[in-house]
Amino acid sequence: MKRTSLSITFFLAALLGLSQAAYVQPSPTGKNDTITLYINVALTTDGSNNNALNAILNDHPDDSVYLWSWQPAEPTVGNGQWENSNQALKMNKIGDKLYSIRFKPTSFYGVDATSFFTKGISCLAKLKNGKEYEDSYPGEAKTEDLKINIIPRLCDELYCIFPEIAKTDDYLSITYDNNQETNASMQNLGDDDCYLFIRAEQSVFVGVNYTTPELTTSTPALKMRPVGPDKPGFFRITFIPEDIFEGLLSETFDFKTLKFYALKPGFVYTSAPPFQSFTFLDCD
Amino acid sequence: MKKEDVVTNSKLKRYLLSMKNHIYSILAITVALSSCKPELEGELGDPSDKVAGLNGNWEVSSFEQQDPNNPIREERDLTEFYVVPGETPTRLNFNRDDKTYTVQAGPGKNYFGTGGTWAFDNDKFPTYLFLYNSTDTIETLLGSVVTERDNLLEIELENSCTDAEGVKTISAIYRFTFNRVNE
Repeated sequence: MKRTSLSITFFLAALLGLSQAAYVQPSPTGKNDTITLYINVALTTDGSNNNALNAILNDHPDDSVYLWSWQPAEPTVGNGQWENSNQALKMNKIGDKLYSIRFKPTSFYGVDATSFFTKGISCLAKLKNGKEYEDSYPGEAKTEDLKINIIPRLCDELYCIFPEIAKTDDYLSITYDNNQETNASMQNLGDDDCYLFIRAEQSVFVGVNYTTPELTTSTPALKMRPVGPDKPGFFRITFIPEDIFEGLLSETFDFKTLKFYALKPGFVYTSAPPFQSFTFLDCD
Repeated sequence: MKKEDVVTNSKLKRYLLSMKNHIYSILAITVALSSCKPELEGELGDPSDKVAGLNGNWEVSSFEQQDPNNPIREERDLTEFYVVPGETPTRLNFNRDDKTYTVQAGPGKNYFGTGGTWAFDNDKFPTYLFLYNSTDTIETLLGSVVTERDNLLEIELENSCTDAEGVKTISAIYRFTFNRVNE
């Protein structure tokens, strides 16, 4: 029943997206998904933001359209100038007044998944020169400001975090699906074989390990427990990040990111370990 | 108008007259019966006193965390962190007279401080319970109205933060259930 309700919800969400001027697919969106952003200029409303692109495209349907975006951040390649958009942000014309552009949000915007999910995407579509045909139409060659809220997809990855957006004082659950493990040495773990190496980071260069990888598998606080008989191969650990590291971090340490990966007794990575990363909410 | 129609109309009038008499009879009987009903004696009293309802000791019996950013607002039961065999769970004591509260912290993260004063948003029809301590004001949403006869208190807390741009994000919703402790 829950699954059916969920399917209906996702179907309606997808349907709702198609009736909006701007939307992304896939939706719900996974944190590592590459998405396609669509803008249907035919569904935009000229005149609400000094915009006239809809009318301009009636008369100039072959003009190229560009994405201009400022949230969750300006694209890392830069929007360019208003009179000369960055060529990298040219959108593909896939239908009458329907344009798309494909990218991986976290690298495209240079933000973490938390920022992407909480802030969504604010953007507009424009001609390369936003002032093109300025004297011929009652507005600029752009759409109004468009807002896309991102619906996070239920996690089905190797590691899943609950809650999906968290502060350092929330109870944080990390679930590890050993069935998806690609490293042969870590496959088919027994019920008592799973531990989590964790590291608190302020930045890439400033961090504190809870303990060494070698000692991780003899540290009870880092043991992951089987989720249950209905989910074989799944292991979970729950803790409050700022509490588990209490006494290990200095008062000035700004705990921004948790790095982690699973280990089993007698095994350590001899090459770079497969670090996972979770960034906490940036609270003022 | 046909002759048959006149006959039908006449029957209808007789029927309506008969019905009217029946209705009058029923009304008369109803009035007579209600006049025999004994008058209420004594006072109904004040509506249940919600301030008195909260008065006393409350002990954590369950704890759930909800993810408000998840598409299905997933909830996890994390009672095991608050109810540990052999340990006394966190207790809150509310005093109705001076509106103070104290906390006897047990296992699990203490989100209630050490104590202070408390208030409802509305003493007669409370929706929120506010806990004021020396450093913080804790706003909790009441799960249901608690009267002196009720032995269950449900409250919700939001954990949120506001970023540099002033955007508030709720990371988790904590749902505590307390049992009344009569000691």
